Amino acid sequence: MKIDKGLVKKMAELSRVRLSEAEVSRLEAEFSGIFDYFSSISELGSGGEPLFYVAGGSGKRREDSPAKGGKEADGIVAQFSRKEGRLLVAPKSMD
Amino acid sequence: MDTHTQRISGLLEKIRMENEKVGAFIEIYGEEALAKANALDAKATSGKKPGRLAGKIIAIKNNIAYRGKRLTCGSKMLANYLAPYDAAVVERVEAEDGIIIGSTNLDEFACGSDTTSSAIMRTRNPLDLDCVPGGSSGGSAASVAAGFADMALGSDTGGSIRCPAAFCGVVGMKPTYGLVSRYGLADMAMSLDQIGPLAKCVADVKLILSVIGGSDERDQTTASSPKSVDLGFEGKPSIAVAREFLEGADERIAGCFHSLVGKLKDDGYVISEISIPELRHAIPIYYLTVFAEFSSAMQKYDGLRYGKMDRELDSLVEGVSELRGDKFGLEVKRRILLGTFITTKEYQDAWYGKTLKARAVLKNAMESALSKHGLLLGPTMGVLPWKIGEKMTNPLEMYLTDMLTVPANLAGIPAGSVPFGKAGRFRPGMQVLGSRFSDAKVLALMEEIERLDR
Repeated sequence: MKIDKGLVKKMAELSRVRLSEAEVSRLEAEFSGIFDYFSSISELGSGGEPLFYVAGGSGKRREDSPAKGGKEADGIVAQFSRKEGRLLVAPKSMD
Repeated sequence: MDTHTQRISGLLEKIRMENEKVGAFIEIYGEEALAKANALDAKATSGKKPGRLAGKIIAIKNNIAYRGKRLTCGSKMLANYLAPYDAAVVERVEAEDGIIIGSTNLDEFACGSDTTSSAIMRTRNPLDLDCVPGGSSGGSAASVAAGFADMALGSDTGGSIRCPAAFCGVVGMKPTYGLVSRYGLADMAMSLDQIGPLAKCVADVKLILSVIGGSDERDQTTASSPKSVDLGFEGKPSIAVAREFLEGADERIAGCFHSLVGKLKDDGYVISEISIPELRHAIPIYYLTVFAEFSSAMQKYDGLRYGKMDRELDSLVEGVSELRGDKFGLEVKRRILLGTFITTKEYQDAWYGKTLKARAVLKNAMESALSKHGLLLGPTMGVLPWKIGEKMTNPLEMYLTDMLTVPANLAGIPAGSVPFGKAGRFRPGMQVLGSRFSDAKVLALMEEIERLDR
């Protein structure tokens, strides 16, 4: 599969990961090799087989009642990078 | 006999002297371990019944939460993040009087097979300090091999317990998917991750697995797990060797394996040779699954919620992208990008959809071989530990080293590694695989292999 710099940059943008030009060049070269090797999944995964599901029969439901504990909240709030009271402060997403 | 306090004090001194050389621990919980040892000594004096892990010293991989301590996952992204609660396995270990002595190094977010992608420190193989300890639970395996801990907990997404166990000459077990609660484990790929133990001997692996296993309502995957884990011996099982397990294996490892097969046959075991051709596709299926799940798991790390950062973000998209670009290492970025790509609307059928189908085919092939033959046996790793830095330039080369360990995660089955024989300074690991929830049977054969190695 042909991977070019534009595609790597597009993936980085969608992933919210800024890359240096050196990283873009390196990943461009590597991704073609990885996708070429990995294309062999078509040999197993192209038929009418069902998709794999991890749950496989579990999916037991919990009682519809308030969760026990909940003491973790303070510890989680304490880890916010910037906060006002118990609220997380994030930069504006639009002007 | 030494008191618990004396033993911990001695061990903390040993770690202080030697950890710098090995680099097993990211953080040592000296105060907490001493307090626990004191409490255990007091308990012994008062005649109270000790817990099942009383006096056992346990190291935990630093992607497992221990309240109030740094949970770095080997990443700069979480360098200042303190775990807000204890993982389920930590609660269970402590409830049975295990002494947790510190957190161990790992590949960044468990992405790697030799612990070199950790942004925190470098871990070396105690058997040969120039070589890697394997990974991603490299610090856990090294802590046991170096004698810093009796047991360690790691996580295994595609071999991250078994690979370092095999490289460092210790025992390691990836339990059945759903046997051990992952509450408090920082996830890497949720359909594959499993917490499990490493130790010097199979008996200790059995012991700690009997403590940490069993259902937990905070992890839905454990819903079908037995209430308590029966780890009794289940008789002499039949065994099959898939010839794909030996394709391309280092001849010193293959030599140890053939000698093991010979000894087992002499001991009365029936061993048949079979073929599971689907195994040749395990690496693509595994990595494509990981890329998709990993890129999703990493979305939450935005620099806002998981500890103080070295800067204030002034814009959401650009600021977060720049921060993630700076804080994540190259292997993490590589996997995030590949996962984003194969799950885009344009490419998801061609890649992720096919991966899910292929995974079902491989899982069925493994299950059918196991239902027919009982247990599968092969080497854990096809290669011996490499020199530090040797495989850091070509990611595909690193991925291919996981060939023998990933099938167990794809199928959700138990698999353990136990050393057998010698290859220079190393003791190659032999891998036993069983059907779902046949962990007891897998451990029973591992114990037999351990006996035959004496």
